[in-house]
Order: sequence, then C-alpha cells, then structure tokens
Amino acid sequence: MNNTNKLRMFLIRNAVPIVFLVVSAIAIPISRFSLDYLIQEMLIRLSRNSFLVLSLLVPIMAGMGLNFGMVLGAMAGQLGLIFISDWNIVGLNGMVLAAIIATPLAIFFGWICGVVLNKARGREMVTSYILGFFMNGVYQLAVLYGFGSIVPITNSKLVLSRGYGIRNTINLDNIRRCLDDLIPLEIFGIQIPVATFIVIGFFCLFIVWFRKTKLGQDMRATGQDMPVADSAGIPVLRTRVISIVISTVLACYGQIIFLQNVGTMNTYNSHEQAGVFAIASLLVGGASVSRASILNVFIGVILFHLMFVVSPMAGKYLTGDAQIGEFFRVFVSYGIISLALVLHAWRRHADREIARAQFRGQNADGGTK
Amino acid sequence: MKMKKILVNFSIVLIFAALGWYCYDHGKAYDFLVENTTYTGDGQVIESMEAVQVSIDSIDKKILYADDRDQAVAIGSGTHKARLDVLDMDDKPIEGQSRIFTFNLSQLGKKPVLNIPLAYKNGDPVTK
Amino acid sequence: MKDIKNFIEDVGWPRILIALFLLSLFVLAPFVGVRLDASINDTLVRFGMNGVMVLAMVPMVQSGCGLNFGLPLGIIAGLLGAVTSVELEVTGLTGVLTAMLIASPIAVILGWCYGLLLNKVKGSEMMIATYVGFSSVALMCIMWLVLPYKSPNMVWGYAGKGLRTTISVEAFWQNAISSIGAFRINEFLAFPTGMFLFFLLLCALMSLFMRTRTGTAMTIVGSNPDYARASGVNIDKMRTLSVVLSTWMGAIGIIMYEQCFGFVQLYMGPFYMAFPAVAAILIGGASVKKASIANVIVGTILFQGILTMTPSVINSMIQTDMSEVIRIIVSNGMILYALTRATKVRS
Repeated sequence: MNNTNKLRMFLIRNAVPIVFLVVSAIAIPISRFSLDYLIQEMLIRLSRNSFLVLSLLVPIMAGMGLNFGMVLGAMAGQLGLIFISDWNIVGLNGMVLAAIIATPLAIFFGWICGVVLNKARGREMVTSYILGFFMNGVYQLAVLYGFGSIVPITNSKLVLSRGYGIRNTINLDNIRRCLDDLIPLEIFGIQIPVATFIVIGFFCLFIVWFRKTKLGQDMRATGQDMPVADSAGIPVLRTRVISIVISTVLACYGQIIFLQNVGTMNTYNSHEQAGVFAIASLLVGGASVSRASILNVFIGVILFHLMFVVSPMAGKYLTGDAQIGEFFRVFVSYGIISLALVLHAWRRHADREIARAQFRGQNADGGTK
Repeated sequence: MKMKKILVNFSIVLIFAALGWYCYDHGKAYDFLVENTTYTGDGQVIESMEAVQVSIDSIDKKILYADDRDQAVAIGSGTHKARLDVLDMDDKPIEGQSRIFTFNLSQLGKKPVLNIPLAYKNGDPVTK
Repeated sequence: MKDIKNFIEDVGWPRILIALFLLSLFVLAPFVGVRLDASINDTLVRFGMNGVMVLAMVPMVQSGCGLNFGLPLGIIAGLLGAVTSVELEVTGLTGVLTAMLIASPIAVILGWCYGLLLNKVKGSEMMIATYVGFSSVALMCIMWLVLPYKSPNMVWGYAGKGLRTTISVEAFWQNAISSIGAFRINEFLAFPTGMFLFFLLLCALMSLFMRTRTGTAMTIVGSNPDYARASGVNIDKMRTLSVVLSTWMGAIGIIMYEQCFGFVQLYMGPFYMAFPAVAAILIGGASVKKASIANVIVGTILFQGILTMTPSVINSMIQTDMSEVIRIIVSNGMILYALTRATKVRS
C-alpha cells in the first residue's frame, strides 16, 4: 500500500475528528474566546466527563455497540447522591458513600440492561436507547412519587412543597468539588484538579489491565465473532451481561464525579444529557461502533466540548443571534453521531459486499462448490 | 473453586459495607445552634457576653454579639473541639481569654443547642 | 377451547392485557367522576389525530427498513406545508389541502434522499434513522428562525421575523376535515366523521397499494430479499419507494394532527414524535419486520386510549398527576417488548 493510499485510509478512518477539528479551528477565532479561558474550560471538562466516556469502552469491546444504557448507571449514581444529601454527609466521605450506595443499584440496573440486550441481539443500540427512556420513566416514578412517601426523606430542602417527590434541583454544596479540590494545583493561573485526574488515570490503567485478563479476552472474542466464541466454550451471554454491568457501574461513578464538579443536580435532567454527550464525545474522538480506544476518549472529549463551548458564541457573532448558535450546537451534536454511525454502517456494509462478491467470484472460477 | 469465588465476593461486599459505614460515620454533618444568650437554668444566671468568636473543629469562625444566634456544623460522630475567643473593640481575639474544650454532640441536648456563656464559664457545654 | 387458545396466541398476551386494562379504565371512569362521554370523545379525537402517522410506519416495516424513527423528516415537510399555508392565509378545507399540496413534494424529495441514505446502511437503519431525525429537527430549528415568513400570526412580535414556537391555526383550518359530516351526540361527545373518513380512506389506499404488484414486491423485499433479488426486483428502488411513502404519510399525518389539535408546533416539537407512532403500531401487534393495516388501527385505538384514559382516571383516583410518567413507561415499554421479541420469532 503506497503512501497516498495510506493517507486516504487515515483520512477516511478518522474523518469525524478531522471534520470536527476543522470546524473548531474556524469557529474559535470567530467566538473571540481567549486561549486561557479555553484551556481552563477544556481541563475542567476533561476531568468532569472522561470517566463517563471511558465507561463506554467495555461494551464496545464485547461487541454490544454504543451503550446508551449508561443512562441507567447515571440514574443509580443520582439516587446515591439523593440519599447522601438527605443524610447530610459532606466532603469526600459523602461522595464515596454515594458511590457505595449506588453500586448495588447500578449492578442491578446493568444486569437488567444486559439481559434485555441479549434478547435483542442484532439491534442492541436501539434497544438500549429505548431502555434508557423506559428506565427514565421508572426513575421518575420512583423519585417524583416514591421518594418522600414510601422512601423516607427527612431533609425538607430536598422535597417538593406538596410533601413528596424530590425537587427539580438539588444543591450539592456538601460535596461540591470535593474530589477536584482534594489536591489543588495551579499553573499559570489555570487550576488543575489533580485528584480527579489521578482517579481517571487509575481507571485507564484498570482498562488496560482488564483487556489482558481472561474475562477481558473472553469479551474481545465475543465481540469479534460471537458464534466462534460460543463454540470455543466461552459463555457468551453471560460475558455480554457482565460487560454491560461493568459499564453501568462505571457510568454511575462517572456521573457522581460529573455532579461533584458541577455542584448542582438537575434531578430529572442531568442523566439524560450524560448519555448523549458521552456517546457523541466518543464518536468525535474517532471511535466506531466496534472499535474504541482510550485515546479516542480523550481526544473526543476535548474536541466535542470545544465545539460545545465555542459554537453558541461563534453562532452569535456570525449571525447576530445567540439562539442560532445554541441550535447549531444541538445540530452538530446529533449530526456527528449520525455521521459516525453512517460511516461505520457503510463501511461494514461495503466490507460485506466485497466479501460476498469475492465469494461469488471465487465460486465462478472454481466451478461447483 | 466455587467456594473461593463465594468467599471473595463476600469479602468484597464486607469491605464495601465497612467503607460505607466509615464514610457515614466520618462524613455526617450535624447541625446545631450556637447562641450567645443569657443562660438561666438550675438557679444560675450567666449573662450573655458582649462579643465572642466561635469556631468548631477549626472550621470557619463565627462572631456572635450579645443575644446572637447562629447555625453551626459539626462533621462526623465522636468528640468535637470548640474554641471560644472573647473579642475586643476591633473584633479581634483578646490574648489569654480563649477557651478550648471538647464536647460530644449528645451533650448538647435534644434540640441541640450550645450556650456560649455557659460553655465559657464552665469550659463545658453543660453544667457540672 | 382450542380456538380461544389459538386466538390468544395469535393476538399475544401483552395486547390482551392492554385491551383489558383499557376496558377496565373505561368501566372505572364513571365511578371516579370522569365523564364517560367526554372520555370517548377525547379518545376518538386522539385516534384520528395520530392514526395517519402510525400508518406511515407500515411501508418501511414491510420493506425491511425497520421502524421509521426518522419520521421527523416527514413531519418537517408537513410543518413547512402548514406554515406556508398559513402564510398564504388560506382557510378552511382549501387551507388544509394547500398545506398537504405544498408538503407533498418536499416530503417526496426528503424521503428520497433519506431512502438513498438508508440503502447504504442496511442493517443499522433504526439507529441511524433516529439520529438523522434528531439532526434534521435541530437543523430546522435554525431554519425556522431564518426563513422569510412574514405573517403576523406566526412571527415573534418584537423582531418581526423568525417563527414563533407554537402557531395557532384555529382561525384557519382547525377541524376543517374533522367537521365534514360531523354530528353531535351531546354536549361532550361529537363524532368527527370527516376525520375518520379521511383516515379510513388512507388506510384503504394503503391496503390497495399493498396488493398491487409494487406493493407485493415491497413486502417481498422485506421478508425475503434473496427471493426478491432472484425475481428481478430492484431492492434498493423498492426500499427507497417505501421510505418516500412513509415520509409523505408522515407529512400528511402531522397536518391531520394539527387540524385536530389546532396548533402547529415548531422547533423541538417534532423531536420525539416518532416514538408514540412506533409504540402504537407495536402495541397493535406489528413486529420490526411485519406490519399490517389492522395493526395500525388496533394499535392506535389501544395506545391513544390508554394515553387518554390513564391520566384522567388515575388523577381522579389518587388526586395526583402521573400522566406524563405513565405515558413514558407504557410507550417505551411496548417498544422494548417488540424489540426483544423479534429474534425469538426468527430462530
């Protein structure tokens, strides 16, 4: 394969991040944001969102595609946070306790998700997408009606004025930035949340190690070719469920880290955005539905959030209307997911066609089978 | 083989539970009232102090003038340290007129309230 | 006994349970203070409002493109038609027909492009459809602000340009079709004959089409692509045709919806509109690979019935408003069931 071919392959494979880079490069000067501000923002967003996006890696490894069901993990994390807010546990203790409470919930949700996805083989992504909506309904049922009535909540600041149901917004002052500020560091006026990055780094090491374990190898085999893995004796169904469970638990922790940075929880909305943005970030980073690496995660978070921060302002200065910038941002978020999905599906389809044509071609040459 | 797996899972659950208990214990924040009001109880009358600065467990200092009340927070169960400083005209702590004592939240009574003049006089939130 | 058992197997337990649930709601209604005639009226109206959009699902399911989560594309075409009709200040039946007339070519073009896209991504249609739908709604949000519509009924008061989020068509063509031949039974219950006639007309047309050679070819492409290819049917053309048909009906469907509802909802309005239609047809017994007109009618009645009755009955019973949450759980639960059922039938 000569050099121009290699270049073409590289461009095609990384089309999405390249497009994003170009758009951002154009939009940044238009938006008139200072470099300082952007670097600080990107660092914050990296520390805030990376964990959530990292949780998507495991299901992709196991061939389950993009786990839209990570929303369930986010919901579990939020339930944990509601409890510690009620019990008034502060600081790092509060955050860790929230994670501990949420873990069994996340495992349970992940297990449900995994079992459902196994029943919908071949259309896992749509199913996990709808499952996210469905569980959102169940979550709302529990939180809007069950909390405060069936589940006792003592802190009146959390409860709606009618006596039951959690308020729309919960102030997470008690754990605000507790992980971020644990080891503060400031370089050239830019604050760096060291502890959070240490946690993220630790988790990256975990992923690398996990890939080498037997379970990790089983997952990769299942992801590459399920029937072959099955005949090799790997318990494929169980492996798939485990991959979803791990992903959900990690999404749960990721959401807690996210919320401790933001400091406020939108009880009914925070988790919805978590899924869409995480998946968009991963795809922007050059990952595909069947292949994703840690590098994709970080590149993706930076690029996606760069566009996210810059486009409203750029839209405003370009067209004189801030609203257009906002809509543009939404359009690009969803558009990029569409583009990435289309590219992936098209490539897969094209590969299959080539394989089929080759098979037929061979047949014609070699005569009857 | 299976026994080992059960044992490992069980100990993981135990570690989680223990960690959870630790966090709960050390992280729970208790709200209580600090008041600089005249204490009238079992025969004694201790006047409220003019200006005093209170800090619990070395977390933010609150200034209370006579008959002032404020919310204070104590984090974690167990004993807490309280530091009372009498303030001069410029709201600065006067040397040698500070009291440091430890107390348990249970000592503060049902409400719970920490009465400053009483605590200053006795070095303890309750009467001896 | 065996006949009953076969019937239950054919219909499927979930549908029977839902039908029983709906029936029990109707029975319960008078006892909790909900007027039965008003409820029936509401259910009928909602049935007509949503029916056409559910019908739009049929072509694509039959041709193997899956459930049309990209319905927003057709809806956008319909919105453009409706908005243009209001801009031209056409009223009454002519107004509605103008809207449909304007929307149709837009829908056909959009559907054709959409079909080309779907042909390139066989196997992942549903996921991509969802996101293409979302992206186009977001793109249109920008368009609604920018397009040169001037009618004072529709633009923001301040700037004089950019369309409002919700536009009332009460003065133009609300109930223009529904009121054809409509008769009142009592104060609360009116029978919108026109709406039903129109819906049934479309159902009949669709049914006829499915029996033509093209229609049958479309079905074969969905159920047995290899046989279709062997018979010389152009699979891609059939699929594109089904997408165009589905998109066009989505456009007609939203116009029907608007003439019943009385409002045109722009911006993020169409964002999630595919989901109720998908849920309805699935409740009606369709699967990801097969859908019939009967599925549409039964499904719409059941789904809209539950959506109408559950809020009013439960709200009266326990004095709380749970309608939104129940709606989310029921509609998504049904879609989930259908998605998890598909593979079992195949193997």
